[in-house]
Amino acid sequence: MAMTEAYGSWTGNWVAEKLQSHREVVSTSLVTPNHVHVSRVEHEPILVGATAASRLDAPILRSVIDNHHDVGFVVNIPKESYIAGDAIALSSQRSIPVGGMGDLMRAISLFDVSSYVSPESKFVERGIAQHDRVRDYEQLADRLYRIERNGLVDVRVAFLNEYELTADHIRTARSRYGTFRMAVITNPNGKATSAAEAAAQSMGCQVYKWGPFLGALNRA
Amino acid sequence: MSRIPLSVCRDIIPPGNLKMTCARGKAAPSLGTKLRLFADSGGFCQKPDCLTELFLEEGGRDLHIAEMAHIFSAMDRGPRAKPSMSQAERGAYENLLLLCPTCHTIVDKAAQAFPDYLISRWKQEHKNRIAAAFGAVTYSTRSAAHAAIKPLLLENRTIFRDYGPLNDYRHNPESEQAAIWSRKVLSKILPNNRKLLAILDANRQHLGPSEQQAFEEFRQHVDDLESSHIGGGPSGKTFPLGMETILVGEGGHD
Repeated sequence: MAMTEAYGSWTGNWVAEKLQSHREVVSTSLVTPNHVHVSRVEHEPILVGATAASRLDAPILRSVIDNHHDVGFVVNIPKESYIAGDAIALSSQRSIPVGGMGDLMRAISLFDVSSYVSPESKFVERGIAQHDRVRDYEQLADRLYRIERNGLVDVRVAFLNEYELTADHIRTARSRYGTFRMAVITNPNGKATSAAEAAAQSMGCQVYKWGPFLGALNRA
Repeated sequence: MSRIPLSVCRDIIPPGNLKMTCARGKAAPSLGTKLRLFADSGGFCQKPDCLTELFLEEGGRDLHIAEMAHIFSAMDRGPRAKPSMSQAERGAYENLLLLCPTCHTIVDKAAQAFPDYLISRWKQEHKNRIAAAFGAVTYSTRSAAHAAIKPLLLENRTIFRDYGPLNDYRHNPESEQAAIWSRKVLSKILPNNRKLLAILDANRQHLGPSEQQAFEEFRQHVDDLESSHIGGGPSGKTFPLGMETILVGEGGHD
C-alpha cells in the first residue's frame, strides 16, 4: 500500500489549511499530497511533511523524508498518537523534528526549524540532566526515557502531561511503551485519580508529580 | 453579612437551645419557623438602624441574644394587637422577626411609633439586603439580569484565559503559574460561580428552555469544579458553552 493511501493523502491539504492562520506564514502550496511548501514572513521557506499515523515509527517517517531531502519538519496529525523510539532516533539522526500540529505551529516561527524541541521535552530533559544522581539518559520514545543513575539501577520513566491522569492514561502508556517504573505528571496543574494510582501500582509502577519524582530519583 | 442555611442552623443549634419565648406572650412557633427566622436574620438584629449581632462568644461560650418579636401581638391586648388573628397565625413565621433584646423592648413599649407595616417592612428589607449580598436579586427584565451576571462571567473568562490550564505553562512541570491559577480559582472563580447560581436561580423566569438546560449544566459544572479544587475529586463537567449567551438579547423563548 502506498504511503499516501495508508497514512492519508488528505494530510498535506489539512496542514496547509491550518497553517494559513499562522502570522509567520505567507503562503502554502502542495508539493505532494503529504508535503507542503511553506513561505514564511521572516525566514526562509520550509518543506513540511505530513502524515496521520496512530503510531509513528521509523518506516513511516522514512517514507515521508527519504525522497524529499529538504523536509524541515514532519507533522503527525492525530492528537492521540505517539512517536516510537526508532522514529525518535531517526529524527535525531537526520535533524528533522517530528511532532504534532502544536509543535509545528511553534516551530514555524523559528529561524532554524531543525533546532526545534518541544517545550515539555526541553523542561524534562533539563531537569533530568541537572539532577545530581543522574549520569545519563536516553529517550526511548516520545514520552519514555531511560535514566542512568549514579550508584543506582537504571529506571524507565514515562512523562505524561495529562491534566487529570486516569487509569486509562496509565494503561494506554503501558500498551504503547511497555513497562516503566515511574509515571511522572509533567503538567503543573495535573493530578492523578485514585484509579490511576491503583492501576500503576498493579503494574509495579508509581505515579509522581515532578517534585516528588526528583526526590524518587535518589532512591532505589 | 452571611445567610445561615437552615441545615446549618439545625446542626449548630440543638432544638433545646432555640428557646426565645417572647416575655410578652407565647409564640409557640415550630422548629422550622425558628430556624427560618434565624436564617432570615443572618445573625443580626432586623431593626435597620441596629443590626446588633445576635450570636456571640463570651468567656469561651457560644450564646445568642436573639428574641422573637411579634409583629401583631401574641395576646389580644398586647402591642399591635389584632384579636381576630388565631393562635396559629400569631405564632406563624409571617408574624415574627428576630430582634436584639433592646430593640424588642423598644418596639413593644412604644408600639404606637412602630406600627405593623413598618416592622414588616424591616423584615422584608433585611431579607433583601442579605439576598443582595449574594446578588440574588430578582430582576424585572432579561437585560437587567444579564447586566448582573455579565461582569462575573467576564471575570471568570478572563482568569481562565490568562491563568488557566490551557496556557503554555502547562508544558513546564516547575511553573509557578499553576499555583496562581489554583489561588484564583478558589478566591475568584468559585465565589463568582456561587453568585451566578444565586442570580440565575432568582431569575429563572427570564430563561428559555435551552437556557435553562445550559444553567443546569452549569450547576453541575460548579459542583464538579468545587469537588475538584476543594475536595481533590475528578474534574467532571467543563463549562457549558451555552452559558456564554445566557440571557443575551430578547431570546429565551426557543
